[in-house]
Amino acid sequence: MSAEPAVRIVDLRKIHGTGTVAVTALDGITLDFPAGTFTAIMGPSGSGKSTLAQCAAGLDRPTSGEVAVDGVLLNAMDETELTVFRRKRIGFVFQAFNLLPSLTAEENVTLPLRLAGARPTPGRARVALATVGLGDRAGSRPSELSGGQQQRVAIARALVTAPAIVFADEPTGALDSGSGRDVLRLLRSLVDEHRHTVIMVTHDPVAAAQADRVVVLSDGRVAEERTAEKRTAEKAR
Amino acid sequence: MTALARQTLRTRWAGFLGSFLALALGVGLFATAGLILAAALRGHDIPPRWYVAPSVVVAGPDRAGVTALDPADGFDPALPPDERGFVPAGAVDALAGLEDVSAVIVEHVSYARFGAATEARPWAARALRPGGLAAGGPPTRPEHVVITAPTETRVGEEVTVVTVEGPRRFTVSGIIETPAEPALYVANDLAARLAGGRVAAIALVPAPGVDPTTLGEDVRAALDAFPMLRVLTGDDRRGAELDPEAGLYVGVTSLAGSVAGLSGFVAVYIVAGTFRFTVTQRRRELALLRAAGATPRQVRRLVRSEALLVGAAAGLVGIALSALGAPAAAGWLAGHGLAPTGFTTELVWWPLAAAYALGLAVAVAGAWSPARRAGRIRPVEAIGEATVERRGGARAVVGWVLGSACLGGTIPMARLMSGPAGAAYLLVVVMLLIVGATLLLPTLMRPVNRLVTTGRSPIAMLARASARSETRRYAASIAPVLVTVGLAGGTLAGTATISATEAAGLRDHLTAPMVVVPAGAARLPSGTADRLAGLPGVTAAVPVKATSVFDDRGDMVREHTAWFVHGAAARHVVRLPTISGSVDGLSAGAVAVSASLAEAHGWRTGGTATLWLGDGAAVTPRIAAVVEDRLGLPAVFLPWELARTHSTTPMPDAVYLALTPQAELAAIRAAVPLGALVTVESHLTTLDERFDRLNRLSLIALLGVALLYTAIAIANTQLIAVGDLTRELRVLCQVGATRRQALALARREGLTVAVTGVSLGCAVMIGTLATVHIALGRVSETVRTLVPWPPFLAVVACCIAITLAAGVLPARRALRRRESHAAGGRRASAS
Repeated sequence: MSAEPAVRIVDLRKIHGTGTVAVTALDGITLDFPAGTFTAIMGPSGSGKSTLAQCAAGLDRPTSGEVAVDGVLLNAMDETELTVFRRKRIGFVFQAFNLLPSLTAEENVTLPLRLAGARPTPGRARVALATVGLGDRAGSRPSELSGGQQQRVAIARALVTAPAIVFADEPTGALDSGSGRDVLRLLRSLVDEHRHTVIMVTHDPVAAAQADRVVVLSDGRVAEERTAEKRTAEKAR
Repeated sequence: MTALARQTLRTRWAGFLGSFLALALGVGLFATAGLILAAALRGHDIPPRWYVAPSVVVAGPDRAGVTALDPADGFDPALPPDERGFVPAGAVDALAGLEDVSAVIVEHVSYARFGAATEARPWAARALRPGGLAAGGPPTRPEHVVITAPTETRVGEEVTVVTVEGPRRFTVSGIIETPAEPALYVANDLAARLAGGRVAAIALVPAPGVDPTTLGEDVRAALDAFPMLRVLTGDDRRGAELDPEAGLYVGVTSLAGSVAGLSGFVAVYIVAGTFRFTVTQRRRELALLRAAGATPRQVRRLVRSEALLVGAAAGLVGIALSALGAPAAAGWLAGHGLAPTGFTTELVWWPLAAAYALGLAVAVAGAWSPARRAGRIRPVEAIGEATVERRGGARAVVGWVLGSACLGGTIPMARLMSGPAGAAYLLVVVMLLIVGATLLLPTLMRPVNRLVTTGRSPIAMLARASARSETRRYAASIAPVLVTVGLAGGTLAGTATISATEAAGLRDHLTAPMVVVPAGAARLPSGTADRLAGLPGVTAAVPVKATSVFDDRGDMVREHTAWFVHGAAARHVVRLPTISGSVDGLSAGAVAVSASLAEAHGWRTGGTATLWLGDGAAVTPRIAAVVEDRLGLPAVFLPWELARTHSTTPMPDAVYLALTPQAELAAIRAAVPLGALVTVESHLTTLDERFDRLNRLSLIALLGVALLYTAIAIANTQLIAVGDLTRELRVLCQVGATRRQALALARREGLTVAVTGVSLGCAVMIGTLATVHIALGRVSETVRTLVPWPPFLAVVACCIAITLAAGVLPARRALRRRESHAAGGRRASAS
């Protein structure tokens, strides 16, 4: 494992609301996500797994604690700096795909680049789409694509900026099992072939089986951590 | 389904707020106009002011189009407010032998101005009013006058009264106290002479113990030979009185009618659009219902029941609004001289019922086609992510056909507009253009949208993409901007152009350099022109008085503008584009008519015209000339001689002068102590200003509230649409847009909506002006296009500001919320 983890979170706390209605979503979590690995975050509903991913990805701000991505501390950044950093270094894949319905697949994919002020060459989007196996659907609107295809466009969008880390929040949640398998295989290949770091939130053990490491959360704390070797050993028994 | 509809309404209250608001305001506006209309119509119901003591009153006709063979029907137009019908002398004789009558009073009424009084009446008529002599005695000699209290003048004092014949010296013989209107009572013979022998009314006082109603029947029977005369008893006798404020009642009636029509139109337009839009917004929810097992029929019924519930509730709020709004509006109208002083509204049930029914009808009709569309929603749409709309081919074609029909409908309107009541059709033209533009909106907005969203920035690209694919959201947001700008632009520019062209037309045709007009409140004596004509250096002195005439084209009796004018001298002061004949022949028994009037009746020079004059008398004069239709000039020129016998006040509005260089202005001024000698140009400028002021006020009354309504509708639709927009903005932020970029997109979308709406609104204005040009081109040598820029630009600026504010502020708030909360991928799903 390299000395510098892709994501390091230290004593992360997140409290929603204040006073009597305050809900503690994350209760002091410290974790390292090494570069070039595939981590699955599991846990029952309300265990804080999505909140953890969002805080780690800079989409949400923790109440206290530190988040460092690629060795850069996110806490000190203002909203715009955070957005710009996220745009460059972090890709995020949502359960509900979150594609803009009025844009074509290609336009959706290049959107982060355009928002960053770059003028993307058509080739770049094609390459990203080809990586997810949709090289021929560049001109299609989301409404003309299946759920699995839409999620793959969303992954292409997450990859187009060549980010250090890709977060995926229940990426297979809205998909049938066949499409879900395709998406998981794609995420796996990002790690194996392209040396990306992938952090995936899921409640599905089948999906988690693709990961190198599984972190199980419960009530905002880390309840269990398993590596692939341990999992394999358990299986063998 | 009704239970479900009620449930939906309760849980989705915010979503229905838009429809509710649109409907409530629409009903409120319509009901307010209705209450004003009711008050204006009721204006005549108050008890008589002259005929207070019990009597039966015989009065001349109050409508045109009445003949001995063809008695009045309700559709005949009323006489002009300042003209009355007369009772023929024969009627007095016919009533002579009647029993049960204690007195027959012949009312000779004529113009006479002193203090607050404006009429001279015979002393005999005093018996009809309560009250008695407070001082002095009755007028026994021609130079005697009895005035009404309160007054500073004492009995025995000499006063000058302006009569039809000019100023006249009287001695006050007595003062009476009476609750009736102030008047001047003179000796019976003098009253008859001043009135030119014409009888305004005959009042019959019943003998003691005789019921006026019974007497009325006897009177009617005695007047068998005069079917055009009215026999009035009780409060109906007010119909025999000339109401100085009747003109204002007529004005308010037509204004309130226009406001009701316009607000009805705007309500239908806005509400239909809002309903359509909310159904579009709820597509997924309705699809879920379908997926859960609702049949298309049930979904349709759900949408319609919701509409009915919203309509029922919003109607009540609207009526409550009108109960507050109508008195305020009445006060405003009275305060600005558009309505009689003390004009108030009362809560009458029928305008409220009509408005409520309209609200329900609009809600149901507005939900009709959205409900049908909702019924066609497929269950699978609940599952898919797709929110991009497909464009229905058949619907687009129907929109095209109807839209083109509306635009084409302005062509026949142009023909009607060149007629006498042209300005009345202006609103119809504007409405047709607006509806046409709205139906063609999906097509028309494309090029404008593309123009507004050019640019290579990601914001421009995103704005372009959503304008391209989300036609429905854009069309729904653009429509209220379009109707606001179109309505303001079309009516403002249209009315300004018509009145400017009219004024220019009058200027073009008047060749007189100078004119004598009343200097104060008193009118010019009838002999003014004759006196001026005799002065050295005066080539011609032509009296002119505006009035109305009526013609009957078989289907209905119509009113036309007319001038009483001194025919032989007219050519010295006014350039008349005669087609045949000559206005020099315009003397007793001859008239000049416009070409369109002549054409409609097949009249020719030398032939005979059949007309009713302002007093309702049917005349058949010879046609001396046919004159081209010209804006600013009347449809009929009547000889001055007819004014003496048929005008209630045969006194000129103005006397136009043709002068030689030898003319002495001082001598002219000395000859008309009551008149002011001014240049024609300054006189016309004064007229323009007075007209412009009234016109502007009416426009404010007409447009103001409608525009306020549409402005609220702009904010309303923007707020409904912003839900979609913020969802899009959230997604955008998640894929890496900064808050600034997201807000820039919200601004850009708002701007696209505003600019497209304003452009198409301007197109409506241009279309209106084009129609006005075509219409006026036939009746005017030059059309003066006039756009009142300041108010129009103010409306445009307001539209843009409201669109931007209603689009950007909620987005800003939503994005701020996003920062404080989590932007969960789960929550941001496109549900």
